[in-house]
Amino acid sequence: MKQMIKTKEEERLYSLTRIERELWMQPGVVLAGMDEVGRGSLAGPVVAACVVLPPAPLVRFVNDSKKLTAKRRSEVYESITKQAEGFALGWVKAEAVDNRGILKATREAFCLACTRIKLPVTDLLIDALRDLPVPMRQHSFIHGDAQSYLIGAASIIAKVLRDKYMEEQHELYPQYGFNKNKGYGTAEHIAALKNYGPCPLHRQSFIKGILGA
Amino acid sequence: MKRKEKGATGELLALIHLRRIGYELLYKNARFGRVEVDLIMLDKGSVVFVEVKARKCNTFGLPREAVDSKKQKRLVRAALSYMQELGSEVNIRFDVVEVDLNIGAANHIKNAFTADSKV
Repeated sequence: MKQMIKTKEEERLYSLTRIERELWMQPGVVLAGMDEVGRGSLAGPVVAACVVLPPAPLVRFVNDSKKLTAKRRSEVYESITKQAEGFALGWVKAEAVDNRGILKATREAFCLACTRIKLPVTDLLIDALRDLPVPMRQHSFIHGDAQSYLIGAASIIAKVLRDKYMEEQHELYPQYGFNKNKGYGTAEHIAALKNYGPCPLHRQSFIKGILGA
Repeated sequence: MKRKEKGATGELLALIHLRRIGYELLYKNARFGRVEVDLIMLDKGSVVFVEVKARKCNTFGLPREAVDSKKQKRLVRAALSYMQELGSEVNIRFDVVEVDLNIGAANHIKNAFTADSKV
């Protein structure tokens, strides 16, 4: 039975790497996957991750970070960072999100992540965004995090590290329950926001409507 | 993992390894009648016929041991028809690349066997 589950997982990973295998096959290609988290959050940074993983062995249970439980996610994160040839992050703070708008801030996070990686990356797999001002060839996919192994892996790295950061910020601003909601607009978070007002981590442009100011 | 999938992943790893040491890909999964050659590559003017053996465990012997004399004969025959198609004399060599899918490592055996007395 265990063997069967293992085989199934390998088959899933094989079909999840369809796009990757085509690019891995080409000469001179160093392929990275990228994804972002925290785009819709009311507080905290938007974080993008860029990761390069080898074609084998594939890290088991890699998937869209939204499809994994927190526990599974941090286990997979450990294996990804162990297996990765390299990875890098791009952080853009709430203040910059307010100043430049969320789309520009997200693009900036992507650019930071893929230029910080210390590998000669030639090709990027990206979820949704296109035409970033970076020298790599870009391949973007709608719902890429559910279709691509590398984008899924990047989404897990970004999610786990942003969550960790928000949990740390909870120590500083315990009113809002950042340890649980990670800055997203849960009922509890919105109630606290109305009660105590915003903290420096909040995106003013996102909470204007809620505070009715 | 299905047999075909295992083979494809092994060939991919072998290809990446051989490219890294400067080989150029000529054909992938080339067919000569009933014989399929995993990779045909160019190494400094020599045409290299590469047999890729991927394994997940060594319980049934080393991968390279799976390239038995029958398989060797087939590859030699394929090489001969390749030369005929090419219509010219080229240096041909037979390499085997063992791939360990568990750790993603490739072990390259140059000149794994020769064409003598196999035809």
